[in-house]
Amino acid sequence: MEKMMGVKCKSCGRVFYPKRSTCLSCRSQEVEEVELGDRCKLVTYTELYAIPIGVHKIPLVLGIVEFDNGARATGQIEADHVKIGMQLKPVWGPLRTIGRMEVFGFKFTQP
Amino acid sequence: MSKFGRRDDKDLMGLLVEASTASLADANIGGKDIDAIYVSSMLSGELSHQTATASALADELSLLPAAADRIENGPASGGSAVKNAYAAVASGLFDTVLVTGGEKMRHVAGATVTDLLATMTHPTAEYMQGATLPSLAAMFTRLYMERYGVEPRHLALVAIKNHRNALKNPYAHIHREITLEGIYSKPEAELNNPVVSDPLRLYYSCPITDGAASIVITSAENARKFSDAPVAIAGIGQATDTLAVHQREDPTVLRAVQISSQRAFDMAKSKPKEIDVAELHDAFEILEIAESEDAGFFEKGTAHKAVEKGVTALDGDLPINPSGGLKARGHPVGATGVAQIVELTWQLRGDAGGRQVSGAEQGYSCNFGGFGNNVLSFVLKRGD
Repeated sequence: MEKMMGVKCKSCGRVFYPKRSTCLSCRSQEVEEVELGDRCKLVTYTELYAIPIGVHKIPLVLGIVEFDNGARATGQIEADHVKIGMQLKPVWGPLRTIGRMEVFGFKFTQP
Repeated sequence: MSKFGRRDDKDLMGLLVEASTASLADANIGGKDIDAIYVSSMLSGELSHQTATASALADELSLLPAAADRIENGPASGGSAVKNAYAAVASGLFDTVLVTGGEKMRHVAGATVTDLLATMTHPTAEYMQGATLPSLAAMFTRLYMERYGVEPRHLALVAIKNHRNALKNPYAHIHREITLEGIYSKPEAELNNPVVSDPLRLYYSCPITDGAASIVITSAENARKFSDAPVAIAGIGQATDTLAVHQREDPTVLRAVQISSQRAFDMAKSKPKEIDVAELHDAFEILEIAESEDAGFFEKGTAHKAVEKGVTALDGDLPINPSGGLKARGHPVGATGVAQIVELTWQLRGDAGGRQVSGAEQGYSCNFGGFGNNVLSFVLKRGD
């Protein structure tokens, strides 16, 4: 199974998603790849009715989640009763099409 | 300025010419005095099938052999063009620069425009997930509501104020009064004001607009040759923030607004409380509230109360968006940052007609790019 990976700054400890080569907080270039784990909480969300080209579900639920290690990510939420603070986990799957290409990535569902 | 709106009568170049001709006439300046032309446009290639737009405008206006550059910096393109023109004049490279921003957007489907605008988000972390600017604004709005007690009613009040101001702006896209009953409290408000991206509704966001805006920038010394009442760009600040909104330590704080305005106020030796009139970038009405806090006019989390009390109305202590703002003047993306400077110039000269803020001596504008990842702030002062 695909695991959602981020990077941790070796200098200040902040964890980022997606991966990056320089720490946004302290500018250190010493970063290491880490697993983000399968526990995150919903920080904010929206039900998008004016869906983008290449998405076929209305509404598209998008949210920002925060992992236990502090890393955050933006993504599609697939859950029954969406609520700020709810527990979610990342799962790999199709996200949308861009042009003719089907794009896959992590989205978030209830554990 | 060109008239903003749905401009089926002109293409992008026609709009740029309309605005440029007006600003050259207003500045009482001849073509031979223009050393350079900066054209701001975010999507001229994608929407008008035209690139190298500044070269075309130099030719069209017969300003050859003036230097010419197109400047693209998302929705902050206009502010970037003004800043670059200022820097060019201040450095002595050019004496006088024409800055014209424009966008032609209404001739293509709204979904296509939304998709092109969404390409300024983080390509993998946001765009690939289906994020659009309205969806980012909606998530920001929800956080703001949770944290500070902002309600949809406050967003409606900002929209109503800006529509009312635009009634007095002949250049505005939308000349229609809206009411709290019609977009918020009566049952038919559900239909009039549908959900775009919950909790964001149609009237809590700006329209898609065609239009162009133009100014002439020259040295203070030169300005007096052309005008008895020049307006000075007293301060400029620009700052960037994380491309992906979720990377911000506090996602309700618009750090690039805070830093760019602090820089602009420092350069102008001014303070928020000295500002008489402000033009803010209300692409979404929550942004007028948040920018007015992060620029330093109100404490964080309190601007919605100021809106409620009428502080930001045309006759309030700090009128915000007398032009109608992006909400009702409209938001031809590359034109907006320039249009804000045009409005402040008219306000400081006392030329703003029915929407004049009486005795305005200092103005502030905020041109907000991305979802806050690249912001320009300006402080303008009435010339001596």
